[in-house]
Formats: sequence, structure tokens, C-alpha cells
Amino acid sequence: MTKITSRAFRRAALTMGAASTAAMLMLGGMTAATAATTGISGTQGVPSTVHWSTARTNTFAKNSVAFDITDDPGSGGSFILSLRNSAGTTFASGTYTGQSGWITIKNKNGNAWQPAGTFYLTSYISGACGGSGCGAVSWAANLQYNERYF
Amino acid sequence: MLTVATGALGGVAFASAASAADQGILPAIKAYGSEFYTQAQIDDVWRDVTGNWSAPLPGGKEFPAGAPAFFHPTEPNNDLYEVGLPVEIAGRYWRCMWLDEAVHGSNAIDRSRAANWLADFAKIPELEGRIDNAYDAKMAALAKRGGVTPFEAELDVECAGITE
Repeated sequence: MTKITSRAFRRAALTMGAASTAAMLMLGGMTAATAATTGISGTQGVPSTVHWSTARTNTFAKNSVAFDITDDPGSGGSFILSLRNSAGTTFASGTYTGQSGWITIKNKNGNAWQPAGTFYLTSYISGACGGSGCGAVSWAANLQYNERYF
Repeated sequence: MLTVATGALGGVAFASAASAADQGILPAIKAYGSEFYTQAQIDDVWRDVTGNWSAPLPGGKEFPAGAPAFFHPTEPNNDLYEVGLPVEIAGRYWRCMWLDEAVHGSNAIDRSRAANWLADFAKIPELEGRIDNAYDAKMAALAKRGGVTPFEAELDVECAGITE
């Protein structure tokens, strides 16, 4: 994992995305949406909030959305991945503080599932580097969405 | 930037846009292969994107004059916006306004015209490279599960806070 520690660069970020495994299956003339798992990554200043441009869509009435950190940002603080709808409402989020495994993104109303619709990701990183921040850090994760919640 | 030339695409004419990104304002942050607008830039970017939008809105409808709530977080914290996001959200506003017309239009002619514009959504030059080709199928599947039309389903799940 490459850490970028330049204090001159505190707010920039980098790529998001990678190969999506989202797929649509044609079943006997019916179109069934399948769960998608995609790699996401970025580099951003600490602290900072980055609003990413990729639209993703949940298609079930109730959907599970979760992420699994594969590259720890190591900022000494929290990494929060939030979902925003097209109107800008942040309706769900999940927080990584170093734990392993999948982290469920929970709705603001307390539910573990998300409604149907398109969402955009926002990543927020805080740090333990004092008031002046601690440069930029890289992170990566797998994101799962459009998974039917039972 | 907008040129006066128009191109007919599937029977609908769009003014041609100079860029598939966010028009003429350069992002302040360029790093690691990505580009971002700052909070200080975002209202100007929004006005540039929507002021030069190449496809018309329904009669009497307008884009928000300034960047909508999406770009003004209630808890700001060194916010950056990836290039392409203003176009993405403007496209959503455009689509929701036509969806509202397609579902709630006062007569069949208006509703049919709205449906025609929505059918050509993917041809809007600004949205080049940003279209999810499976999106219509996703809305169709959602509609089927809900027992409504695809336009009704999409308007319900995608447009709250935009068309209201």
C-alpha cells in the first residue's frame, strides 16, 4: 500500500471504480437484476469529503449494501462511506475504524437495508494528525450493492 | 460551451456540446489521474453546465439557478466533487422533469412528447460515457415488481426532492 504524506496535498483524491461485476441475467424472457460487487478506491486528504460521480442503482424493494476495506487508509481516524440520492440526501452510511470483514451500510432510519433507486458514494476520512491534517491517504474496498435483503 | 449547430438524433435535435465533461470550468484539483471541483467552484460549474444544456426541459420548467442541495452538504467538511458529477446530477434533473411530464402531463400529446424525449436520454451529448445501458431494464424490473409502469416506478424512487 502506498501512502502519500505530502502536507501540500491535503484535499485531492484519485480514481474510483474498477471493473464492475454487475450483470443482468436474461431468464426465460424476464430480466433479473443480480447483486453487484465492484472494487472502489481513492486517495484523499485528511480530513476531507469526496463526492464521487459514479451512479449505482439498487433495484429491489429492500437491498443490502456493504463494503469490505482491502486497503486500510491508516489515517488513525475513521473512514465513512455514505450513500446519497440524486437530491443530495445522505440516507445511509457505514464506518470503518480498523475492523475486518464486511461492513453493512445502514440507513439513517436504522434499517439494515436500502430502498430501490440510484445512489452516489461519498467518502469521508478523519485522522488523528492534529488540526493541520496529515496529508493524503489511499484506500480501497469492495462494494456490494443491489443484493436483495431478506 | 455551446455551438449553434444541431444534430438530429433519432428524430430529436440536440444542440451540440463542446465537451462530455462539465463544460468550460476547469477543476481546481487535478491529482492521481482524477479531477475535482472545490466547493468554491461548484455553483459556477452548475450554472455553466445547466446554462449550456443541449436538450430542452418541459415548458415552464428550469434547472435550479444555483447548484442544488446535492452540492451544498448540510455538514460541509473540505468537500470535493469528482468531475462529471455536475453533469450527472443535471441529467437526473432533466430526466425527472420529463418523467413528471410523462406521468402527470395534462394531456396525451404532452405525455407522448415527454416519452419521446426520455427515449432519447442516452443521446444527450453531455451524457456521453455516463449512461448505464442496463438502467431501463432495471426500472422495468422494478416496475414489474411494483405493478406500475417503468416511468411511474422511476419517478417514485429517483425523483423525490427533485420534482417536488
